[in-house]
Amino acid sequence: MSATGPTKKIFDQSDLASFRRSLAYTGLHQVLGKVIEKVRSQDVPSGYLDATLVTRDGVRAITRTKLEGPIKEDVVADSPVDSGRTPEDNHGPVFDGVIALFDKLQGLIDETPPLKGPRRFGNMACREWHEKVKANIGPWLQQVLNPADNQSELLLELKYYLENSFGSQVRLDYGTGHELSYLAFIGGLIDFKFLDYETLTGAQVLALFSKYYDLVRRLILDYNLEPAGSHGVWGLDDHFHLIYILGAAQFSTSNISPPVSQVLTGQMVNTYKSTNLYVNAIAFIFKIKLGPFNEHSPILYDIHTAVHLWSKVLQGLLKMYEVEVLGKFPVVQHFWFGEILYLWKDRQTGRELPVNPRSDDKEDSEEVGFINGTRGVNTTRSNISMTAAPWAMGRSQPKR
Amino acid sequence: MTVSFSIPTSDLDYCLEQLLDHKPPKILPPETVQQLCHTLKTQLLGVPNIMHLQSPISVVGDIHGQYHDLLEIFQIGGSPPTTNYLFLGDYVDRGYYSVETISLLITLKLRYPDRVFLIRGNHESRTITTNYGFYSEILNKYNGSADVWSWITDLFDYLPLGATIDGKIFAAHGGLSPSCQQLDQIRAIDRFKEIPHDGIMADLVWSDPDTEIMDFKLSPRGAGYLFGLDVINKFCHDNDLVQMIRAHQLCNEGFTSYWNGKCLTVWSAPNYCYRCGNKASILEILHSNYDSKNGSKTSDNSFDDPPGKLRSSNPQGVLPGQYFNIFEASPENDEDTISGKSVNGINTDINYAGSDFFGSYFQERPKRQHIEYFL
Repeated sequence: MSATGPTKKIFDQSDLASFRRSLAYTGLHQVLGKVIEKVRSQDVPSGYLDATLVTRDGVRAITRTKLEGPIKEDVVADSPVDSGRTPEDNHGPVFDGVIALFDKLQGLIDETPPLKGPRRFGNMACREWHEKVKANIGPWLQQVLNPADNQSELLLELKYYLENSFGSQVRLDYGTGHELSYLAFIGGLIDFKFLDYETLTGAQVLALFSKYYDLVRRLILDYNLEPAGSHGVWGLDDHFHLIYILGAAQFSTSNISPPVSQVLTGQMVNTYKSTNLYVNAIAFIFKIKLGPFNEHSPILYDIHTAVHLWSKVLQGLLKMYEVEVLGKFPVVQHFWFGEILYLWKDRQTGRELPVNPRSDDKEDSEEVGFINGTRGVNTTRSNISMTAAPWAMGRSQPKR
Repeated sequence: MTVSFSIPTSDLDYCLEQLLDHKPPKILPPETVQQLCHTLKTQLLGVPNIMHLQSPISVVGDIHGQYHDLLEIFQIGGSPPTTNYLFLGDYVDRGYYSVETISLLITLKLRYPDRVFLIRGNHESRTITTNYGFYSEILNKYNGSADVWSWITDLFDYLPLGATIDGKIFAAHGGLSPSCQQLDQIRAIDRFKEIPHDGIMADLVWSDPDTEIMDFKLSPRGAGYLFGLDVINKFCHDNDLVQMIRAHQLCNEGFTSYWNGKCLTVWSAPNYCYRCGNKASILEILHSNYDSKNGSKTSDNSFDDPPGKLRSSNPQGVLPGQYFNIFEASPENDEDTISGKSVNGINTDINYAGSDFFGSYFQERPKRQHIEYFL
């Protein structure tokens, strides 16, 4: 037992079998299940999702005319730490604290503008942002959670998962592995009663995820984080997967959900992009990609032509998550395991699972690795995105 | 000796028609692809690892399944057989139309064998296409069958590794290798295999130039090397070359010139992955008479070039007789979400079941397969 925080356990494809047997794996599924239960039939409360982040410049005017009821039109664009959020402001300090934390993290982006010049992907200013986060997040989290004296190890682990959920400082990329890390963080808050699961509302859960997704989208947009998913257009989304699960869960048991087949229309996107995470994610794709939707996002397109029930969509997305995220070595190799939250122990015997570190793999941060599949890596000089060799994924440079 | 049988020109023209005259393009039936691949393989067997090509010729970089942008290239640069083309590889992966792109290129190569030349990129490989999209695309477009993928990736093994143009310019997909000082070393490779993880063949398709180093350095890609000025100078000197032309790296402006034109990158996939916003280019090489006029290689070259095409200041950093023809994403790619034309991806011409020869295949073709998670 050392207070070093989580450590890497998945070093190679063959470790995935151990991962599937681990308590951590079970734990992550439990958190996912809990979160899904909470958000069913719920809307993202107004004031949490920033519509401008998922709306193209130039069409903003149209989006503001939607039937939104009490949304405060102009607050959303700036840091909305104010009363405009929800009617019943009885959230508890940790919830409020985490929400406020995201406003601070957004503030750090404002303080760290992207570097100018002919660079395209992975703006180096993002590294500076990560540095600032590293310097601050410990004390901030301490303040928000106010843990007991004997919880320093727990705090360390929570901090690790939160920090790791903002993308890679080294590779300047973001993907579903980082998204998973945020789920792990939320799971930790719930399991150790920082957030009381009994009283936690679906709206609150959605708010916590909304603030997170908005932050990540600002990182992606402002710092031009790596675009290419491993399968190019042949993946669900360049960056996210969980967000679709949560959004589909929101719709899955609701009587007033829009028909699955109509969700890709401009009208539906505008109507639901501030209240449903699935539609919100679709809106973000419309914002950043040019071209016919069926070409740049064929899997999503097919979902909406072939599937009719939101419950089926949810089920399919979960199956896909199992295979394409939790089952993919390039993604989960970056998920580390600690002593408290997510244990590298056999869920049946409780014994430590085997660890097979590779000698040349000590320094995870040196990797030319991949999240969500193929993030390219950056050239030393011009920072241009490029393809890496799959056999080099997750390895430091090959020995020659 | 393998006796190569040929496909009648009329059949090739019919394939071209399927691909070119429909929007979206019609994919070719599996049996057709199989036959095209087989025929091209037998022809490529006799092609050396490094082809000897002559100017004038237009050099095209990465396309990555951006079919409409390939058609755009033929629009702006002239179409075969009136223009000669050398493609530098990376035809597939990432984009939506890898199948159509490679089918068109194979057909064009068979139809105009002396006008169209294809070399191998790092994506022309089984491992890479499994990881970066082409494999998934084939499963989706060919009813869950990977047959077409295996025929096409088998064909990839036969593609040559590079070309020389007028004996003075060396073209390959990636770059140079520390294991290779002489072009003859490349000529001696047994290339008819999957691209290995290392060695000359791997480095040719994986390496990148780097202006900050002089020698070789391991590439952050995990395959190939970064190579510097000394490396390229020595290689050019030892092989009587003046320049290397390669692709392999996204360039915002569509091209990059290193070391005053000693090395050029040509990138031909505009708005890469539908969102990078980059330009693309093809490199038009009109001639390679560098000594005839005023000597200096990179100086004024407007004298014997078409008026207006090359400016004397040489802002592109190219050699005389060369010109980067820059273009942006084709209008098809801009049928965009704002105009609402394809917001739902609804293409009115999706009806494959025509009365034509291939119609019966597509009539039977079920829906795409990648939604299996949802059924």
